[in-house]
Amino acid sequence: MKIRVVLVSLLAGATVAGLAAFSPADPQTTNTQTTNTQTTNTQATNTQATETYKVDPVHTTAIFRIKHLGVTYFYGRFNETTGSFTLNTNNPSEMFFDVQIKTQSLDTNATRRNNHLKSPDFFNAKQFPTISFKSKSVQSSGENTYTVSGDMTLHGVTKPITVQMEFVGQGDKGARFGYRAGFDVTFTIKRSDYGMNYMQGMLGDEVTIMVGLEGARQ
Amino acid sequence: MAERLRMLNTIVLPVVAPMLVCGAVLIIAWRLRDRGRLIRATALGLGYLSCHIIVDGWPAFPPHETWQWLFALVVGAMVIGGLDAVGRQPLILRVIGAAVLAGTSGWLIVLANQEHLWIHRTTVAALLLLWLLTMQLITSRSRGASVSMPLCVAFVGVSLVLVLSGNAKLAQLAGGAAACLGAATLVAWWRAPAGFGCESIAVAGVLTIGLAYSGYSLSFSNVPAWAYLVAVAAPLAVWIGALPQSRKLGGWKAVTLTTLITLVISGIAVVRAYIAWRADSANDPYL
Repeated sequence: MKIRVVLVSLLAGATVAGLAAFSPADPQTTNTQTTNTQTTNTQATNTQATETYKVDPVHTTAIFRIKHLGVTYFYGRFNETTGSFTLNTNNPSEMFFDVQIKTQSLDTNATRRNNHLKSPDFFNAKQFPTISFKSKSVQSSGENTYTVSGDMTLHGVTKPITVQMEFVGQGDKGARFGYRAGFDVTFTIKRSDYGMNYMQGMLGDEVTIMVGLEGARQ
Repeated sequence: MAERLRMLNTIVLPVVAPMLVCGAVLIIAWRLRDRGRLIRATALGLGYLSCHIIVDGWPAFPPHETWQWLFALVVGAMVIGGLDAVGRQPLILRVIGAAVLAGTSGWLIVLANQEHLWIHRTTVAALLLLWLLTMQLITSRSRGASVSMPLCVAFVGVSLVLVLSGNAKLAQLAGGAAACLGAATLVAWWRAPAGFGCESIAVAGVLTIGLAYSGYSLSFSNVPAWAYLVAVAAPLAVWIGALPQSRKLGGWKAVTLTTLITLVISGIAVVRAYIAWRADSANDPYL
């Protein structure tokens, strides 16, 4: 009889211990686990759902280069870029880019040259205050690269262009920056195609434009 | 070599071509005597149009940029000048013609997104109307170098103000107009009746005000508005030549006096533009 009581007690104890092992021991641990699961899900969702990013003008860079006198290239930059893009790496056709560059923010580290480039001789920045690009189609063209076709408006002339964009990365960068994603693109246009013909010869016709685009998720 | 030729063409051709065109038209008009009055009215305009095409290519219609309307406005001014050359129009018709030209210019060369749009449009139209009426009045009895030489100096002034404000293309166009007027002065020196008269004032007015305003409104330099205003007002020194005291001097002495006064007024504008250009960046080696 005593042996039965001991066995039943041991069995009950083991059952309680076993149940206890599967039951929540620490509520905090449980929350952390849940959060981790949610984070993982969010990251997975990022590549599946289309999300909108607002261009960060501080961490976005737009520079250009043009041949001078046929002997070298000089570089200039635009200090004000705005716009937005959408990201969906699993379904690139859902992606969209809408970027504007303020021509009046042109900066070549020489005030007189800036004034000259912004005058009607080149950009005519008072009449045409923005350079813009709006994508029409986005297709994956390799690992982290996309073929983006769209309309570029420069000097008041809109032309279709196709560029290769590199998807640089994305991720949650903490409370200060939030969730970020970025692209990099380099492409070449002929300025004469956009009605900017002045000083052909002294300045090259081909202009290479490089844009590093960073956006904050909305 | 090809590069040098291209650079030479960029700088020299926009000056030489309008000079030749204008000079040739004036000589043809002179050879035709009375029948050539209408042709003479087109000399400055045709010279300018040749410069415009060389500098900016064949114009599109409607133009892509506001300042490119100058091409069409010059054609309009040539028509008004031509009407005046065919037969002296009554005062009221001349005032209406000048008002239409001034209003159209104010409408077309001011940017549609310009702040205080109507103030700009009205100012351009009023300035041009005032300029046209004043100059038509002064030059109605003048011909030859007494008109073309001061205007030539004034256009050189406008051109320098424009280049100092960073508008090389507009400066070249003003330089082209100056070259036409230089050619007209040479022709007038050779044969006085062959020179310009008041029939060319409409074209000169549209170009002076149009180029200077475009330079001012589209520029990013610190050249003040009054420098442009002084530059376009300089040809009004032709008044001096119309005074009885100046007329007493006679011939080339009166022309020289008027031209010198125009030179001083234009000089003030150019010096002010130069100060602004220097102030933009003293150590900037650009240009």
